[in-house]
Amino acid sequence: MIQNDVELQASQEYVLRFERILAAARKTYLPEAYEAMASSYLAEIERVNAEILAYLKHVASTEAA
Amino acid sequence: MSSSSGWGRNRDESVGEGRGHPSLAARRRKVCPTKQWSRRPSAFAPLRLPGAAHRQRSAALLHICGIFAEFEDKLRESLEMLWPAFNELGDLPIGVYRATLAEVIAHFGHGTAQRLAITARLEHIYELARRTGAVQRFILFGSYVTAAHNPHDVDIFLVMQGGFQPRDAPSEAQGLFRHDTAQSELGASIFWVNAETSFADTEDLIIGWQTRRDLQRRGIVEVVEHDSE
Repeated sequence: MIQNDVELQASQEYVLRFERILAAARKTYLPEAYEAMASSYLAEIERVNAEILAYLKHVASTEAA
Repeated sequence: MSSSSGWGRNRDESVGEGRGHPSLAARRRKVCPTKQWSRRPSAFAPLRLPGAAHRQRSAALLHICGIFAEFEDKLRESLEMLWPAFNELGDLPIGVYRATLAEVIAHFGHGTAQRLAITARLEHIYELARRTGAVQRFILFGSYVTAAHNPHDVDIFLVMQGGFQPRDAPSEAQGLFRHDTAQSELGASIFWVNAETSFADTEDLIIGWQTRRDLQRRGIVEVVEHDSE
């Protein structure tokens, strides 16, 4: 799980990188190839996004202390 | 994907303080075969050579000994250059280290039963990928290429030739290119692009695989067919 804001930033950049790759690939890959290629990135985006949401659910009070 | 740096799902991967390298240590021992032979007089005693021939033979032996020593030095240097020590976090220093599969296995494929099992998977996957005839780059990242004793799985990034589609691959290799199948049947996290993805985006992904969750960078490994690549 994400432990601090540095890890939050890294996670957001990680997801953003994949989203950028997919946004470009969906225009250039053949549909069948895109579907297969995207499957790994989409699963990873889903997993890391869940971690980001879990982190953002809580206030930063314990972190500041 | 698993990783000792925290991207991975498996948080209990143990990272050692640096696995030993007995093979490298063994190679560091200076051994000159000709010197060893010369310590066994019985092997040479029957040869009663005249003075000039004896000197010639000695010179030849010294020359051979020198060649062995030089070769051993070069081998040691190349091994040390190929695999630097893990840093304090158990990662390779920043960089993409190119090595043959045999070199990767010699360095990362031993130590624990888990590593042996994952190495067997890696060999299988590499063979399947090779059969497609369309792999441009085969990159390993995540916990397998760290000092973690028990990496969860092997993380692979494949760059395929332009226009490659999974259906073009032999049937036994098609599972490499679908996330669910790669995870469940091959025990690996495999990400891939083909050359329709721009060079810049591909390089961006490779940088991403080198970035830890704490935003620090670490080394990863590219498997190449031959040393000269």
